[in-house]
Amino acid sequence: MNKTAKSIVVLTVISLVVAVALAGVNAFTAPMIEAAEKEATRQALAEVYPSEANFDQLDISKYSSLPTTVTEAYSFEDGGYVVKVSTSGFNAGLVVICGIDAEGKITGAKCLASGETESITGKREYTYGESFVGVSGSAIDGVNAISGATYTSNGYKKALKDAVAATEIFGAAEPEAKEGGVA
Amino acid sequence: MKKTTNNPLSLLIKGLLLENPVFVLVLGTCPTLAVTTGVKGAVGMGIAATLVLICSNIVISLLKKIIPDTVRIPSYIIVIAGFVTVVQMIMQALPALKSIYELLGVYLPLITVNCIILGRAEMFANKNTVKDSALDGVGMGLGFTAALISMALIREVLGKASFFDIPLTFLEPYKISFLAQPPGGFFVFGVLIAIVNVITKGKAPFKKDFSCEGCPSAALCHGKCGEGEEKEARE
Repeated sequence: MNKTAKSIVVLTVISLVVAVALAGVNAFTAPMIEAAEKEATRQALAEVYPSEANFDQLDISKYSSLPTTVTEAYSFEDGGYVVKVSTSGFNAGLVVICGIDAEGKITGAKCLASGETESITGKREYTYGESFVGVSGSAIDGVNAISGATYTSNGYKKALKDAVAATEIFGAAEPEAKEGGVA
Repeated sequence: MKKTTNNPLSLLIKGLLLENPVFVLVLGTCPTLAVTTGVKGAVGMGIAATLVLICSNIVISLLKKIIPDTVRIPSYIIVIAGFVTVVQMIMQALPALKSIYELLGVYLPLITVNCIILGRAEMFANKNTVKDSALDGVGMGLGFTAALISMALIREVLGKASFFDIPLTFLEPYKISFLAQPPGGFFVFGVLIAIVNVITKGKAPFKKDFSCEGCPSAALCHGKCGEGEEKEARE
């Protein structure tokens, strides 16, 4: 066997052996990694929707009538949802995550990111979600605004209304659509 | 090249000072500067790199007669990358190591191109027995870990007034924030190299004694890169 052929064979065999070994380790660690990631997601979602029920991430591309501001959604077996919405207040970049129970009431809302003017809002959009706990979709407009930050408040309320509207669409959807969710 | 003394004890301890991979061989500088802002990250990186170093040294030593010279570097990189990926998957899977996995971030997969690991494969493992290569991996790994911890101790305690992320409130008014920043990393690195140089004066190997064969720039410098410092040290 000439040198070039031997080099090719040795490099190929080493690559194959390493690939097979990695596949073996992956088969062992992948379920553990998946479980750990799901637990981390559950802990993050628990801030707005404390529930021990199983959940799945919904494939939002399957719902054509969904508000365009909805970027992520999770469906819980107990009928609740967690929806992440990216919208605008005075500026773009207001990202809100919201938990909604089976009765359509908000269980928690949290601002994850904000492009609002700090000197106007005083970062109050990050705690504004506490005012909406227990409020149903139709009563969102009745919650007091952040004083002096009407645009931000309206953007926040719009985000929550979009989240509630999204859960109504998810609830009305055929079961097949929900099965398309990814764990 | 100096003849290697393959006494098991000397193989184990040479990496700690005389041939310390960071402060004498000046290898693996990128992760050294990047992860030494905290002792926790330094310990995690040190252990991960040591595991990869031991395993890759063993495998490369086993395959030294099979791998043709022309494809030795890509072969070593594949073997090293394989071990790094295994370590990465295990750290990601075990809840106890998850925080260190997240802390190390991109520097964990970058162990693949850590010069210490490739350097030891090229300088030692492909010329020595499996046992000696394993011992060299342990010694160099310990040296790398010790170097990272010593740098991180200075940078975290004096630069951030904390230890293992535990705030040291009595040091807070005296902390030197500069040390925790990138320029401070270079500063501490330089000071520690100087200290190690003073301690090992005349005993540490010169650059050309250990690095020319494996150095990608050898063809350009014709093995003269270490001559200046050797002459200076002898004077």
